[in-house]
Amino acid sequence: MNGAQTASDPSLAGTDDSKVDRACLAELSSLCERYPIPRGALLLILHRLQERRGHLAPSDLKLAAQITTISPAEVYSVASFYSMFRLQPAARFPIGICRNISCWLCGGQKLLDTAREKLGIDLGEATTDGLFSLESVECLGSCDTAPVIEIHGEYFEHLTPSALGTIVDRIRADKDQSLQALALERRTGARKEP
Amino acid sequence: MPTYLSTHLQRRSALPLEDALSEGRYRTAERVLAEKTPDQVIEEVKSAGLRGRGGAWFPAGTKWSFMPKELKGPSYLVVNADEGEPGTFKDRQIMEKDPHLLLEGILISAYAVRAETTFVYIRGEYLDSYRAMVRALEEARARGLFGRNVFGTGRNIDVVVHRGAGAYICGEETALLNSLEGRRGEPRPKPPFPASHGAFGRPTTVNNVETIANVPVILEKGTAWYRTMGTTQAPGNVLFGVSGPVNRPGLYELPVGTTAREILEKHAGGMKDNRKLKAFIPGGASTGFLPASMLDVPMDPESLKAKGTMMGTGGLIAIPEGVSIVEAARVFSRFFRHETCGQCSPCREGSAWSDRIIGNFTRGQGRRSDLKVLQDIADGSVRKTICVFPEAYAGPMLSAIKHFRAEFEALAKE
Amino acid sequence: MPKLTIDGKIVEVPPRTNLVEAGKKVNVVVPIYCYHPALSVVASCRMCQVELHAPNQPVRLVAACRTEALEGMQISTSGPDATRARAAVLEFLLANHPLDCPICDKAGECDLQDYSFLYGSGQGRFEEKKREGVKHELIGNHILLDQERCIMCTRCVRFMDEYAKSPSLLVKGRGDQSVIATFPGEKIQSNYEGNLSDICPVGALTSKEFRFKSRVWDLCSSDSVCTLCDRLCTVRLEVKRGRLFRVRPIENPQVNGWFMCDRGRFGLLDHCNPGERATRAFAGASSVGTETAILALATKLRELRQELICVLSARLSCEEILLARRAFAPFVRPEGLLFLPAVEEGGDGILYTGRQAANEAGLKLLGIRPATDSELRAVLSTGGPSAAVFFDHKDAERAQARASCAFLALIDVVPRNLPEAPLHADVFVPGLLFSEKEGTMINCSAILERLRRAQPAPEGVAGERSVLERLGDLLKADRTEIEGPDLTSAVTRALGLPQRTLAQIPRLGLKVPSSAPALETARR
Repeated sequence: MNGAQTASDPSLAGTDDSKVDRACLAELSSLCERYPIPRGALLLILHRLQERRGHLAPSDLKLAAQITTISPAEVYSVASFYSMFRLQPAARFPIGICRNISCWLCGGQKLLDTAREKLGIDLGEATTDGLFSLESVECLGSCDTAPVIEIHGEYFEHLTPSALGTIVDRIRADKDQSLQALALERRTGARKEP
Repeated sequence: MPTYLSTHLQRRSALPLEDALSEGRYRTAERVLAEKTPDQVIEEVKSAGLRGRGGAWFPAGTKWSFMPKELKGPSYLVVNADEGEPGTFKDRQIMEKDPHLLLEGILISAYAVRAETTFVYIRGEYLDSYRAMVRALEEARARGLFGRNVFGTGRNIDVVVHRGAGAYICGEETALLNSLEGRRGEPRPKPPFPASHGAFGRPTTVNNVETIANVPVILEKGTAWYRTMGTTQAPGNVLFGVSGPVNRPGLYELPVGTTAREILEKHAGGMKDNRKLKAFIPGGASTGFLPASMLDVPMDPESLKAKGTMMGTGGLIAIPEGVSIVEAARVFSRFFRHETCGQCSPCREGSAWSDRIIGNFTRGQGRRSDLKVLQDIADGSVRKTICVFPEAYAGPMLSAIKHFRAEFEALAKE
Repeated sequence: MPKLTIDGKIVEVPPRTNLVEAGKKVNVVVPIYCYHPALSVVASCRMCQVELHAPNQPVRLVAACRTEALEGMQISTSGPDATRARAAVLEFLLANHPLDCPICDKAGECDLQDYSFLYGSGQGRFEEKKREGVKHELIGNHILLDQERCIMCTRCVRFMDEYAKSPSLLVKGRGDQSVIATFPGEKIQSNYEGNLSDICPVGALTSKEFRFKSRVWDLCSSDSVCTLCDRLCTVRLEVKRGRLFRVRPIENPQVNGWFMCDRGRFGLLDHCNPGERATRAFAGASSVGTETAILALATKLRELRQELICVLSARLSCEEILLARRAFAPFVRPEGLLFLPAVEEGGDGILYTGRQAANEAGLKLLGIRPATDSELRAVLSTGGPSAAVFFDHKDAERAQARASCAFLALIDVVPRNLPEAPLHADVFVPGLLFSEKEGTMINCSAILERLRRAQPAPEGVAGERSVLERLGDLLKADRTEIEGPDLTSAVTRALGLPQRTLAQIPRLGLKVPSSAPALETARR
């Protein structure tokens, strides 16, 4: 009746769920070499794994455990601590609306209300097509351009309610476009926002 | 008035290495590594009186002097780029617009504390900062500015750019170290302090981005020049942030000791739409509320401490008339409740309980007796936990009650 | 050795002693939750805050669990700052704590109840809706988790990782949303799961075996040992109306530390509460009284001329072994007084030794010879018709004793109540469980430990000790070896120890010198 060490179960590396190819595995393992101990790379590994399908499934956590040589329980505990890691399947474009002080003072509430209306969902919910969800996020460190939202780490600043609507429409129109490019476009003012 | 931090912060994107080099970046680092010993660098930074810009204002040179001079294994420098204090956005600008300013600072600082590896811990949300730092580091490495045998001195100095994943508490240096190690970002009981037991068990110095960004100019122009700016106890410039409904929100590089009024009215153009100022937060969320009547306070650590608050990160937030301070307090209580790591009983329960109480007031359902409970929650947790998080959540709620008690009482149901 | 003052009492401690342990030395209790001497220190509950007084300095509160006791320290656990800090911690912990006491198994031994009574302010001010969480979810084979009652001390997480070497519990989430959990879809698989309900200061981790079975203050405890392997962990047997309800380890640095394994903890519940039991003696085919059976056995032994094979068992106490030796030694063949050592199953590297034989060391140290199963079978089936007495029916079954023996006697606990003698033995006398006995046993590290009776003997069952003593007397065996204030004193003499009665055996045991004096009567 000894404790079962699931981290060392070799059959988990190639579970269907994770479908990790050799190149990805090599990349993740190489991250460990930057740190004195492998687990230093854990947060970077989890970010990388989350990029693949938008959240971290148990098989992702087990894979991370194997690579960093710690227990799956420990990885799960670490992943659950941080706000950016999603442990449940997420919408394709989770919209994070800053709810902290400067955005709040500069129209953040109105922005949230617009988002709710435009998307027909509340905080913590996703649209039925699985495309968008709404979350409150804490201060994004862009207080001088409030109010701000972020989608997959790309910041959309000085956001008026109508500009938010435009962004949603543009993403819907071309789901594969680069969010980074879209955000940059807004920042450099290449297109006039209504 | 000299500036040395904000030279390139108006750019749309990062200053590339070639341009940075022609501006003279890395010249100081090269000279320092060739001509000064690490201890001499520490002494210079000490006498310049550089104080940490992450919020605690601890003297940087003193912190560096805690590091071992004789190495029995690696020592580390860790740059705290976890910038999560609401109202603060300066470190992000440095990383995204002038990464080589930070990198040159790292080169000199790592040399001083005898660290071969520097970890730059960037909060997870700062994706652009991460990209900019990675790119800048690649450029610098390709030029031999980082890596082995830097400037032919035989010294190895390199950088690992790391990402957090969304946890304000990771701005606390020992929580940051735990997070860097791939753990939950929970602060560590002290002692031991990072200089004896830090990252991966090794001697470590943790410094804020802006602190490191001050280092090149100190070594370039010397203590006497540096001390012409700021106050005697806190020399140099600060990247003050101004946010809220003001005419010109943004970063303003000004000497320590500039008054809040000058920052807000002269530089940030005062309140938008001619609204009156009701209250302001001097240096980021945890510094709490000050009434508009105190706007003439000099923004330096000593003056703000005398007013019962703190310098913090210099992130000034302006609150106009018409805004409910109770609701503003709620914004903060919800934030702190969300961000407490949860280890210590008083903080875990106290931050949540105070959020519940303040929430009751926002709905007009407050209990007058709960105003005393909020004070007791603060007393039961401040200086009674592993880290200073209770000080942070106590700041806004206690100052709100102290200066705007009537607003709370008006929302009490009994 | 630093000397310091705690609550006015001077105490000297070894270097690197924390203030909680220093306090224990002078009977000063520092209340704790997250601290446990077997586990790493986290200092997160903040319950152990004490005042550190230094001349010309403001009083400082320090966490006793992680503060080293240093020379000259002045500590107060009862000053106003410490008192307020503790009362505050309790108010915080009770804020969201559910009012489950009336239905919570932990009541009566709960550190939250006890400290609230001792140190709390007596009046809660939290009037919000309390946090909700999972209630009584089975997270392993035995333990139920109640997230609402949990005070997040994290002892359980550290225990599974550091002691049980099975990191299966974790803290999930952050802040006031933190809960104890397992990896999604997984359960605890460990031989040490049961300890979780002991180390949990509150009723957040309880065992399903004990759930709702009894209030703890209705249980009668006796200190004994677990006999399911030869570690002989010291345990507290908790009994109500003759039934064993719960087993908990007793802290014993030289035997089991603070813990015990699940094989023992839960195995004893079955072992000591057998459903059925043979309680009548048999002689020939008839059920008889104990005295009749003893007489029948004595008669048979007198007929034998040193032909007897006597197979003792590790379930016997040292006292019983001594008595058996006295009674049977004159009648056994050469090398005929023996025992069958337990199969080495391999222990778990922590406490369980893998040898399911409680007092094997006692047998060895009292001069009983080990023999293998095949040796015994051979001995029983060669030569003339054999006569054997067994003390464990499983040994007799393995040795096919009934088939090989013309005469078979069995003295044992048999968990079946049949109309005939178990194994169709010629003489059967029912035995007693270890929990029904007083006496001593010796563990694998040669520690002599004490058994105290926890359950009453079944009606009419006199037990091995009394039967063997009577048998020996009937056979006119010498009483010299067994003389003394009690039988235990005879045991200690036989082991080469200074004489001690049962009451004089230390609670935590006594180390036996590894070579006991040769016992002439045992060898022929």
